Amino acid sequence: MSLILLLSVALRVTALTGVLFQWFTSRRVSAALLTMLLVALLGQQIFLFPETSFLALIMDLCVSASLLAFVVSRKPVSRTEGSEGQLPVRKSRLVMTALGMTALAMTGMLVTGWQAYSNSRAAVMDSVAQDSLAVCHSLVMQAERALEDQPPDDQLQDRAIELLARIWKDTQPWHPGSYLCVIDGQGTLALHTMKPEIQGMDVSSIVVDPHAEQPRTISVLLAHRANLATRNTNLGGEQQLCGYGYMASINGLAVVHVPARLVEDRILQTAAPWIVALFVIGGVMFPLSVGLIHVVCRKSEREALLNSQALHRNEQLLRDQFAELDLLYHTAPVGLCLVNTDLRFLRINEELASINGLPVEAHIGRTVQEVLPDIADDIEPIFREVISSGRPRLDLDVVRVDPADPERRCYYLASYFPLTDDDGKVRGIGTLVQDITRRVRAEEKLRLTNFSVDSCSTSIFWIRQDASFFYVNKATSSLLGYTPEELLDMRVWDIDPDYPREVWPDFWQSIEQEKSLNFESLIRHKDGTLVPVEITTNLLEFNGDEFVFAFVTDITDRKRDQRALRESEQRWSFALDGSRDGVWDWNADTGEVFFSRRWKDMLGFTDHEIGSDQDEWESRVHPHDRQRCLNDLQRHLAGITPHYENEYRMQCRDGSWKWFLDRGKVISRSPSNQPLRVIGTHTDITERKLAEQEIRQHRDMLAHVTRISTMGELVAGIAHEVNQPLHAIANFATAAAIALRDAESAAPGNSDLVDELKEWNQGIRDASLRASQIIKRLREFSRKGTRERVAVDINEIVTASIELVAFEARDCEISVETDLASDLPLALADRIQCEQVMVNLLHNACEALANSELPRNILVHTRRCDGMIELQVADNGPGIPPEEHPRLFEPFYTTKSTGMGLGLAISRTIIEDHDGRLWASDNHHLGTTFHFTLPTAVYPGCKEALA
Amino acid sequence: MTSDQAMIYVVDDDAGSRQSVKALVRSMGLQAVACSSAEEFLTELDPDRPGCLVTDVRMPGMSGIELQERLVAERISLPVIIITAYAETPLTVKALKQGAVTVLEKPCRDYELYDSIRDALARDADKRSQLAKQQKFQKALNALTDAERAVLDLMLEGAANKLIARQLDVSVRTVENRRQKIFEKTDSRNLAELLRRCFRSSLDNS
Repeated sequence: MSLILLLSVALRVTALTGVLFQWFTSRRVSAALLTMLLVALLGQQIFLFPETSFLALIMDLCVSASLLAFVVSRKPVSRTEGSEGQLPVRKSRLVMTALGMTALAMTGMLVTGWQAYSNSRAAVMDSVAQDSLAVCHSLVMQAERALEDQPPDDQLQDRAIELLARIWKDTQPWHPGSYLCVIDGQGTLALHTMKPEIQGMDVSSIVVDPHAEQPRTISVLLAHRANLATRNTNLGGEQQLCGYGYMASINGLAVVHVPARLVEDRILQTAAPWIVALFVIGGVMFPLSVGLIHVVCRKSEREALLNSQALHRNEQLLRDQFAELDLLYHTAPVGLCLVNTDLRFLRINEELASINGLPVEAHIGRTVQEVLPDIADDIEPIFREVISSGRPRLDLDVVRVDPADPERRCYYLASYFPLTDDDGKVRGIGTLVQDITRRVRAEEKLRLTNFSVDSCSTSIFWIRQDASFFYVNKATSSLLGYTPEELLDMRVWDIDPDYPREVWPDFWQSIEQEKSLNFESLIRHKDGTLVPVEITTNLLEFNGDEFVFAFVTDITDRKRDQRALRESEQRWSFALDGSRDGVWDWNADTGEVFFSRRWKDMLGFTDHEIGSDQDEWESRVHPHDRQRCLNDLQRHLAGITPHYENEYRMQCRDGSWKWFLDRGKVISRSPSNQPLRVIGTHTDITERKLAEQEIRQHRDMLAHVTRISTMGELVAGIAHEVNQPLHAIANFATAAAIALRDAESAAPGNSDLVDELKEWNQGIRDASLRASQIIKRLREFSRKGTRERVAVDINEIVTASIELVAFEARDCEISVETDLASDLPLALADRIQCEQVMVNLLHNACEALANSELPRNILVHTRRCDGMIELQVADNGPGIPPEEHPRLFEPFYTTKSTGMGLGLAISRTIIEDHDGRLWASDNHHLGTTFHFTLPTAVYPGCKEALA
Repeated sequence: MTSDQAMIYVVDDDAGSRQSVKALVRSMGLQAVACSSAEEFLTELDPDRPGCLVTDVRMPGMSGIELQERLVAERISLPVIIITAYAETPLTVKALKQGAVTVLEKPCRDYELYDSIRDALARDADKRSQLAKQQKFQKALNALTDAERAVLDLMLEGAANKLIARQLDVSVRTVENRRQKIFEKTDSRNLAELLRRCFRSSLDNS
């Protein structure tokens, strides 16, 4: 028992400690209240329940345990957790709290209920016991009354007992199960209505009130003649409620017994519903209400938290907004300030401070007069007006001398706003200042520009795309005679006949491409005269529209001067240009030379690339020609030659060489006959030189080829001629050898002579063979020249060949005409060899004509003939006698006093070598015609062509 | 001088050459005619006589090559030896193409001309004997009757006896008889010989 009590106390102390700790940490009222409750409970435990029953102790233990559980589970709600903006949902804690509260309530109920019940029961028992005593008294009284009449005798006790039994019997038993005992003066059980068998039993020693401080036995009661209502245990061991009544007549005790069990049963039956109800109320309603309270508390707590968070947020937002506004205020590109009604600066931003030329700190708290003495007189009345009227003044101009540069003025645009309190009273003025200095200056500049353009002496037109005038300046009216207003209604073609309506779009297009044009034109004055002008136009884009911006200058005077100058220069330059010659003008004194533009141009240089030094000329002359030139020049300067003339090469800018014909003459000499000035011209004769060179080369080559082929033909002729006798010699020798052999076999003997003859004969044969081989080798050597067969244009060859004999023909006054077939195919031939033949035939013709009468003609005719190309060279000379025809083509045959007589032979060899033919025929009337044919080149891959 | 003896024609405008070749031919024991031009040679020529022609190329009038062309054109199968002062390749090729025995360059070496003449004569003799045989065969063919000729034509086309009989509408026996006749008349030992001769003869005729 005491152990349980100790445990329970320990639990309560622990719980109390926990709650105390909580109280100290959280300082919450609930914790304090709980502490007080626990202290009270602990006191109750210690002082009120020292001797309670076991069950009560157990209950108490339970209460202590649940208290501890409640305290342990209880944790203070910390504010920091809530401020995170989210309420912690702690269901487990909630459940634990509810469970703890429930257990506590249940325990309380149980304890209270039990106490009530046991107290009630004790009371009822006591009352039943008192009732029993009362009943007992009544019995005794009735019996005493009845016995008053009876004499006291020995039977009196028996009669009394009998009477008592009778009365008991008559008396309706007031309590079920109750019975009556009578104990006589000796302590013997005289009557027992329930169990008569145990009558006579000595019950004097039975303790009748076990609960009293001094337990009394029956005998004590008898001795004291006392009455007693008590609870005790009968002999059967059952609890019963008894009323002991002393009956004087018999000096005994009448005892009414009521079994306690039955009374208890009835009490229980009566109390049970109430107990159940109590349980229900305690176990369900209480937790429910506690839970409800808890939820409500939670909710309100949460709301409070949310409210505090919202408040916090709003506060932050407000702070941020203020910071933003502050930033805006300080960094705004316009000046801002706030002055109070005393015109002292309360706030000012950096922009305005810098406009005022003072730091921000220098403003705060000082008056306008102090800060801005120069303009205070101007702006103070405005401030006062705003204060008095309560209406803003907007966009007022403020002009101030630039603090940085006293020469300049600054312009500001200022607005003043009254700042009113809630009553509408002005408590300050907000000022907004914009620096418009730059704008004002730009406007001034623009005005200046406009003014200068307007009053400029050059006429200026702005022309729209539709040729109307957008703007004209004043000078236009003096140029054209129209007022500017009149001009604005006119079009370009009204004043410039060169740009009629039809060509205007073209002009616009060209200016759109060129962007800027400069040209001269004639425009019509109002009085109809045409004024020469120079127009400079620029295409400008302005605000999305395109304009032509035209400057028009009157150039009447300039024109006149120019014309005069040009006319005089033109004559001179025309002469120079016409000749296409360069000009040089040498000042012998200074050594400077003027080289004309053309002179430089011929060398490929631009005007400024060549200076005026003599060396510019000398250094460019070909080294091979230089000395000769200088010599010739010197001879002329010395007066030996009447003029200077030379042909030489000069190097051009690109490194190539050009031929020049240089002619010059001294045009002024000093009195001592020293040359002072020499002028000369320079003619480009490169083409002529090259042509000459080409012809010369061509001729050289032809001559070379002719020499070679002449030699070949010569050798071939010799070979042919010499081979004939050699052949004869060889054959004779062979015949002789055979004859000798036959003779030997026919008539042997004389063998010595025959052998000797044979030997000589053999010598003859060997010698002839050697001779033939020498000739053969000579021929092979002379025929080395290779020939190539290519497709050539015969007409071209004819033309080239005629060119080669042109000089000769001219000398002999011979006209060479051609009749060339235009549809001639190409020939397969060696170009040089063909030219050789042509030149040979033409040359022959020229020689044949040399001494004949005029007119002397040569006609060269080409045509197609049987798949070949035929060329004819006809002359109208004396012709060739018929008897000479067969021998014409023999080598060494000639009718001329000069020449070897190989020309035609060679020609025939060449033509036959080309698989062609060469022959001569007499003309009908006069002269001879030589014909030759050449094969055509057949394309492609034809065997003949490949051969 | 019988006409069977070989005759060597020497054509050259150069008298020395001409005489020397003639001398050489004579030394060989053969007869020779020397002509100074092609035209002269053509009057001298006896086509039936065996022999050969030794000609220069470059001569007044007809050249040696032109002469050779003329002989070919006239189907005179006289062997031709061309002698030229200088043998140019195109000329040599042309001459050989036209059937020249050889082209020699003046002056000839040792027995060059001698050998060439011998060669030419041998070739001529061979050709003449061939020709004689041909002529004999041709004569035999001409001697065939029309019926035999028809059989021969079909034989040449390669038809068998039975087919020939059917085509000519005669008995096989008759065909065999006619074949026998053909063999006898043409002096052919077997079918192959007969056919060969026929083809050669037809080639020559064409």
